[in-house]
Amino acid sequence: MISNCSFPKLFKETMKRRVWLALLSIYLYLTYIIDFTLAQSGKALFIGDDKLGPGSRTVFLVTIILAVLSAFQGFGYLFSEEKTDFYFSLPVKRSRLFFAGYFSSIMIAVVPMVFARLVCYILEGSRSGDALYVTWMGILLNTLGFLMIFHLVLAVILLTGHLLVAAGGTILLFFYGTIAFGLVIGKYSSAFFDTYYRADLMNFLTVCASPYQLYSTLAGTGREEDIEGWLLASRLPEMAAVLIIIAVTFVLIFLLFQKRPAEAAGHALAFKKTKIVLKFILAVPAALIIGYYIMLCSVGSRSFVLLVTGILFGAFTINGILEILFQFDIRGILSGKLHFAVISIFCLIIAGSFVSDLWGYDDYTPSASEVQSAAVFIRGLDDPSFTGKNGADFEGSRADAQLSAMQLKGSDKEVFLSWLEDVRTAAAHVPEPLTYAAVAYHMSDSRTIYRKYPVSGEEELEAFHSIYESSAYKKGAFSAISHKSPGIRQYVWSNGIESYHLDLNGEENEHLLKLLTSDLTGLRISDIKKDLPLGTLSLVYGTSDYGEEAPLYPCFTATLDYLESAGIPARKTVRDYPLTRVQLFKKSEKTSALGKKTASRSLILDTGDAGEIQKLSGQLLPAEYAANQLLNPVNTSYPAVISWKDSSGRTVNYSNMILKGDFEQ
Amino acid sequence: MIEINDLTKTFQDITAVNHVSLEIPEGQVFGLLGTNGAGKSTLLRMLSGILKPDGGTILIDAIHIWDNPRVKENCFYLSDKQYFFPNASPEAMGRFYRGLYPSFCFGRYLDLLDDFDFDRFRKIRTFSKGMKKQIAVFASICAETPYIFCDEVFDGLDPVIRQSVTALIKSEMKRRPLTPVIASHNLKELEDFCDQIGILHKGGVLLSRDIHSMQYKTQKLQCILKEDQLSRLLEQADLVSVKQEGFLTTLLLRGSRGEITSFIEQFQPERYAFLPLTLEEIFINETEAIGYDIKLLFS
Repeated sequence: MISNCSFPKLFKETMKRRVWLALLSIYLYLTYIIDFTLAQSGKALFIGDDKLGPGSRTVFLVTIILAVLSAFQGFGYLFSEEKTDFYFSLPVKRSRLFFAGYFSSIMIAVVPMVFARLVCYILEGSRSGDALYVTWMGILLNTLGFLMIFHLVLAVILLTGHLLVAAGGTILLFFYGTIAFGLVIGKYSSAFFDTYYRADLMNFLTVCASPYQLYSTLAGTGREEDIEGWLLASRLPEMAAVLIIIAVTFVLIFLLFQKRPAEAAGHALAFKKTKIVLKFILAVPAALIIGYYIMLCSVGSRSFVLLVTGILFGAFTINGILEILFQFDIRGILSGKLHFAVISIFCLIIAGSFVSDLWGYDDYTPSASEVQSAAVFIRGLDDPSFTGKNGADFEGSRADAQLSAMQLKGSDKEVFLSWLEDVRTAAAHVPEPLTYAAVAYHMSDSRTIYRKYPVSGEEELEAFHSIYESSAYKKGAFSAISHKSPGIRQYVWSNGIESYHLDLNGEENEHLLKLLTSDLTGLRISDIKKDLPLGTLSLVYGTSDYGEEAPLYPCFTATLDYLESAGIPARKTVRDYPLTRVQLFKKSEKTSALGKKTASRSLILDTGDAGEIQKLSGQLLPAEYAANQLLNPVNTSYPAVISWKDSSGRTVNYSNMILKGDFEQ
Repeated sequence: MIEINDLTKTFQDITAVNHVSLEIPEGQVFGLLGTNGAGKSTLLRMLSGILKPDGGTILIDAIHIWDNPRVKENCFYLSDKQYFFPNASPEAMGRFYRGLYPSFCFGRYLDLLDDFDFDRFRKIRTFSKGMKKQIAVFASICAETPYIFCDEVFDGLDPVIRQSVTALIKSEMKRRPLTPVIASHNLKELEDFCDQIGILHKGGVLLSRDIHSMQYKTQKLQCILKEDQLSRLLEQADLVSVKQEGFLTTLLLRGSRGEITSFIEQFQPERYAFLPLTLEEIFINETEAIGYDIKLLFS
């Protein structure tokens, strides 16, 4: 039976009811156009993002806002009994009612976005194929992002019956993956797996289960690439995940709307049967996280008793809170005992599997035939961010970049795996390792498995020399030499005090790159034990504003000679500059009663005396040059600020200096 | 005709409608009576296709109503708290209904608004509760649907407006086929209006009767009798209730007027007269027979 009320008629009536949202959408996209235009000249009205492509943060945020508003405004009547009665009593099939709201939401959000993006393309002035390509990619991905967020928020609305519950559920949904996977699995892995470094699968699941993160990763809102740099191929897994989510949620929301009882209006949940599922999804990660943080209160942060207590407490609390929310009654805190028991048992099983390493995480060793290539980063080796303490913490280091870039294959791989086996054996008997090595196994099946292993002492570092001196290692460790020379736009030399830009032609670029590659490849462990860098050479590639740095050691004779022949004082150090003033500080660390550590520094010397300056200058160097604290330790307790007069007589200050060695007053 | 067979609806642990079976014939005003929580609104919402029954069937003109727009086009639901679009005027709501109900008579709707002195373009949210009810009634009348389901439609209306709404519905019934089903907790509201009454109590049907035939079967008589004659009468009469005030006796007797006249004259009353019966008095008759004190239901 077909209703007399045609879909176009119903759609028109629905659009009439949503005029304010349509106006808001137009207003937001007009703001985007103005913001984009101003950003072209470096100004900002809103975010000041000048990206034409999917990476535009403005459009990203606007699509999310409109997705949420569209869902709530279009289907929010389901929270009110009188509104639900009104709509459900109308002579309209439920499916038509659904589609009228659904398609009107898409029209309101997507049409102005398409228009705005095309206007920005025209304003951009660039009519290149790449500009048009990223514009259309932007339209496509922002539409997909909108649809994904809209579907998910609508699913939350259809599963709940109260505005506040739906709003809370939406916020939770946005970051669920970050909490459930990232926080829980990440924290438990790092707490109980000694060899845990990172897990790409977990990262991927975290991203996929957080709509916000997934959309952001797909669109590339944190990245720099726009025209002439944007690639869809690098986002295919995220694209696949988004498309699957859109398809599955579309079927889900359609069915939920058809089945949704009118009497759900005003209740926390629309479908009683979803209660246990929602409780489980929410309570399990919450209880595990609460258990983890309570466990941290113990000495050594590994008390199993506290972990169990924390989990039970967390399960009880979250179960109670959810019952209160579902029943709108504070007495609900004591109900759902069976659910509490099930959730607790499940959490304890999960926690127990981590504590006992049920899956053999730490014992995992791939066979050489399974590993296509390997990569390694040793904390404290060519690592300016390492201070000499806590080698297990890789935060702030360039470990990820190095593990991604390096490919030890063939004989290099064999030597490395053999070295690693010796390291693991030696470390088993040493309670306090010297440092840690982050390792990436790039498997034959395209997976990458990461682990972190303790390096017990200097002997193991010494044994590392054959790997360190391989060209595959150097290319991974110093990405500056892994590019091809036609891509080099500029070289920038620096010794921490002065810097020079070199403008070379193609042949000269290639020649200097060859020299640098040769010198870097020839750099030995014994060299870095003996010397500190004299300076750095940055290679700026393509359209990037940043260079990739390579250190320049005294043994880089060929490179240094070439630079000097080009008029660069490549061997000049701090002592060769006419310093006019040196301010020396002493770093200290205070620990409060609550155990919080605060770093501070106090001035211990401020001198303009030439004699004193002469004595100190031989020991001063830029802080980032102390990159090998394990093999060539440098005392970093005395930061310094130096002043000198440049060729025009202007006083210049440099604050990132350190005094190697001790200071005697 | 509306046929309700063994209808049940449960909300969590509460059975709001419990195996209700009713037949609502066409062309009559059906009053659905019951206290708060009796299940009246739930029943009406199921009739309107808003709620899906947990058991039983609802057939409107022999067709199921659930998610059936063709049947729903023949029904108009007037809620106790009728919803209007936030910034809509009566005229705008009329346009909306016109788009959905194929027989909606927009011209007549505007005429009704003018006749009752409503500003067509004033926002409905600025009207009083009673005025909003009136607008809803006008819309329901002008939708020209054969069935109108009204939940507490007279609640909030002053007696004058109530009278005019009642008259409007009655005149509409004369003009075209119309079957209003009106839910109320107030017997007196439905007294002069309904042709048939169904009483709901705790989700079930207490009784469902045609009022006129009930009125025909019960008489209220006031008489003056000698004491010995009165005793004899009380022994022999098919009595519902008796009240004595001095020498005046008021009797509620089962039977037609003719039968009662013949009966009473046997006892040679000094005077007697038939008095009009209220709906409440009729129902006392009916519900007493099945063990309920209707006064408790409506006190």
